[in-house]
Amino acid sequence: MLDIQNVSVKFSSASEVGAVEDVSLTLQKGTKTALIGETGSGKSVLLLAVMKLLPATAEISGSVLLEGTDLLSLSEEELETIRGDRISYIPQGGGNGLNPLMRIGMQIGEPLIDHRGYSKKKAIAQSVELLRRFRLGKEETWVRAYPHMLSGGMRQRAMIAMGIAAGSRVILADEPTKGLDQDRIQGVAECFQYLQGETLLCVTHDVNFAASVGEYISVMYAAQQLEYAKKEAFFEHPLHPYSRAILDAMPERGLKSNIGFAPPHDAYSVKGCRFSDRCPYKNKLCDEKKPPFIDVKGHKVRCWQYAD
Amino acid sequence: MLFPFRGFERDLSMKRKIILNRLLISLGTIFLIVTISFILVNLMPGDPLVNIMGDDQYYRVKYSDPELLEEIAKKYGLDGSLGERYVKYLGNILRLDFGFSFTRNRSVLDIVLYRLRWTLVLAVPATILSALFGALLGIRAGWYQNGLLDRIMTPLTLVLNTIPTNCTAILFLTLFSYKLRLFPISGMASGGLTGGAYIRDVMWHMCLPLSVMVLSRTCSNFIHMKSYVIQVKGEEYILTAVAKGVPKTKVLFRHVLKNALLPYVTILCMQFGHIVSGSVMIEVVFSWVGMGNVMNTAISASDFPIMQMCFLLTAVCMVVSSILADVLYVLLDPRIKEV
Amino acid sequence: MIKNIWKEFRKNRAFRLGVILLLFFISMAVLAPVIAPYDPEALLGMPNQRPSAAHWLGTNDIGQDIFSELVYGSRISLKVGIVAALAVTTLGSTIGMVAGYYKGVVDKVFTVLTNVAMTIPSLPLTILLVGFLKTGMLGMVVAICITAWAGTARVVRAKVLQIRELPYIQIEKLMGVSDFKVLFKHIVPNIADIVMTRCALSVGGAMMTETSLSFLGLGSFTQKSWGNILHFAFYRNGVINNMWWWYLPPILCISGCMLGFVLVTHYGRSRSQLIKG
Repeated sequence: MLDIQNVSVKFSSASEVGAVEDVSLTLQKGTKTALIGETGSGKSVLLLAVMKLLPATAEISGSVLLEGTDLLSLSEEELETIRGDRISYIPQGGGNGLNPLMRIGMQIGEPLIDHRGYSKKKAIAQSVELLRRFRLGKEETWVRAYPHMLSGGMRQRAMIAMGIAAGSRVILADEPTKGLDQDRIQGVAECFQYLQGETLLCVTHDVNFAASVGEYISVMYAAQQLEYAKKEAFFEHPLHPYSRAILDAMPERGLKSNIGFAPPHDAYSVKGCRFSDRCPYKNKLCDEKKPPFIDVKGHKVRCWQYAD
Repeated sequence: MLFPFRGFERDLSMKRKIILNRLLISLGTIFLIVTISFILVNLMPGDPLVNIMGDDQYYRVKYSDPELLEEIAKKYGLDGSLGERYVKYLGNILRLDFGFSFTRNRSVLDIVLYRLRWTLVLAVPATILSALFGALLGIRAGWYQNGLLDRIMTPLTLVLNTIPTNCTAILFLTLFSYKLRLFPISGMASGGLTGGAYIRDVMWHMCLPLSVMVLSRTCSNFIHMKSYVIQVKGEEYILTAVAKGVPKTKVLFRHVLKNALLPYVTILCMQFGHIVSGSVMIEVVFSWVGMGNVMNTAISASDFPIMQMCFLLTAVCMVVSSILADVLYVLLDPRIKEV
Repeated sequence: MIKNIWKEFRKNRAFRLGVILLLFFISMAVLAPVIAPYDPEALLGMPNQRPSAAHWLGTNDIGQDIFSELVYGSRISLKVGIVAALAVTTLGSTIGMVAGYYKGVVDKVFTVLTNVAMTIPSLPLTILLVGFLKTGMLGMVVAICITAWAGTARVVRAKVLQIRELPYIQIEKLMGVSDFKVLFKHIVPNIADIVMTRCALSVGGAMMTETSLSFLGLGSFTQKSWGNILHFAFYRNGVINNMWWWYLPPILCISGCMLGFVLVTHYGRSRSQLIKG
């Protein structure tokens, strides 16, 4: 369905390090993938790069195939017909992702107006149905509300509804749980369960949320993808030392490790593995050479331990 | 229900409360300004009567007609205590009695209101035109940031903004009136005309002062509008709209414009407050005998009653326009902000 | 700080132009006795002369050398601008700091006061005050001070309100460190940037007001500022007779100086935005 191949993003050609380096991800139709990473790991930039939403100063290389069409090679006009129609982006609910001066119904129905030629009235009526799918309650009232009247969790639901409004089959969600407390996160996770048949790529820093939403898990660290596996495989036997560290640091698993997680500033410029300076298993090779993305029986990992 | 329902009804009543609150504050402000004006006249060193009438008139009247002086003193309650004087002063203002100008031998209210008309003839079209120009140019320059218009207009407005209006006015006067002889040198109308010819003549006289005013205001409007558009353009909801596949022009008209016009309307309202006081310099240079010019001559002639009324009028104008801005903001913006 | 300014100076063309303009006018003011060929107040015989080798910008209606007037005028204009700006900034930031730091009733009173001060039209009030005070330059500075403090106070208050909630300041307060010490040890250094930007902005604003007032003939007549020269050029027929050497130079000086301040403060503004973001 969506095939991200060797995508790299650089914000200035002068610097050697990129915001995203050589990420490949294949999303099968109807699957849900969670992309775990810390702030600054490049996961959100990747999402924007896939939809070509980054400012003109960003240099994107690689290709993003949506059912065979390379999105990165399309013109802005061609992209306008695809965005929101065949692939859509859901911004963070905690942020300023909804126009404060436009009613919710109109914002949800907007893709229908632009892609399906709906009238305004019909689009708003449809948005009531869309909201109903996410069990908002009092949908007829809420479509007339302005974004500031909604709580963070409700905004997130409205935005998911907006994403699928025009029948888009591929959904990219950016940090849906940011700024929400535990109860609301549960609610948002449920919303993603309601998505049946849509292909989802969800960026998050919340491992629990990733576990409840994703069928596949991918981990990013300092602009690179470190691991990719099926959910069960990832949680039962994570391969990368970093993945193990974040799983061990979860309270549910007894807070067994605490290595501090934000990558150090100079991590981006090291020659070898970017995780090497905090890795308990590192050897000389890790410092010298960048590890390849190794395929261990369908479970991919970027670490020298698994090289032959 | 999980979340507290912050309904529309509550929002509405809150808005009503905020507007009422602003109205009360404005009334208080006007009262304070009136009081400041009283303090200026009465607590300044020297005889308050001298302050009310101004040096020259005081001594003229004192030698020519001492009885009139007593009459005036009585009218302002100068024989009584400070409190009594204050009450009398407030009463006079409530009755719109701003006193008598001894330099012009007419009631202050008549003089100022008559002159105010001429100022408005100049300032109202200037405000409207510059609001339009500023918005159109600013939106374009902000939307196509670093485009041709932006690269020309931004440094140009920056430089023009640093030239005081009286300097621009003098430059326009020398260039267009003296050098090119395109427009009249000064004044508001040639004598002896009536009807349509008179109106055309006034408009011809208006050209230069109006264009100076429009130029200077368009500059600041442009800078504001451009920065609002750029700011809104960077907001996350604009990214959302683009990600939804909304076409570029519709992003501008549906999402950017309304959000950028909101603060713009506010500064326009505030500008409306300067409508009577903002044209002093231009009026003086072009001998346009409006409020500003009257105020200027009143000061050189120490005619305090006129000065006082000009001051009160401009202040009230500012208060009214700021309340207008507040009310408009509350009406246009669904969000409620307590300031 | 100095290093930052130098970096900006090398990188930013607009900032560089601003600094150069300001340095030009400041050196003009400082070196006035050296530069000016004549005493600006001396009556040198022939009035209304055209520019010549002896009088670069001619003479005015009573035979004073206009170039010398202009050079000495930079002293008056800059002095009024800087003194007024310092006074305005001191007054405004003190009020803003106290209001922001103590909150409560003090802050409420302050908010009402600033709102009033912001709505009072500054030019008419300044004109009125100058009309009353009648003491030339001092009156002007006082009038500017009374009418212009509110903007600075508002900005400073907002920043102080932000800073005082920072954990380390709350902790110091809980530990019983005196308010005075907290204010000067933590708050003042944190608002220094904003205050300096506001100050530079106020110099420009004050010079603008001074020019307007002097142009209307409300300045001091013994010491002529640029606005004053323009006043005489306008009222003594310099403009009507198209004596460009009389009215144009003060206009250029005023505008150039204002431009200098605007360009330099643009740097300050972008810096404070950096701090905010």
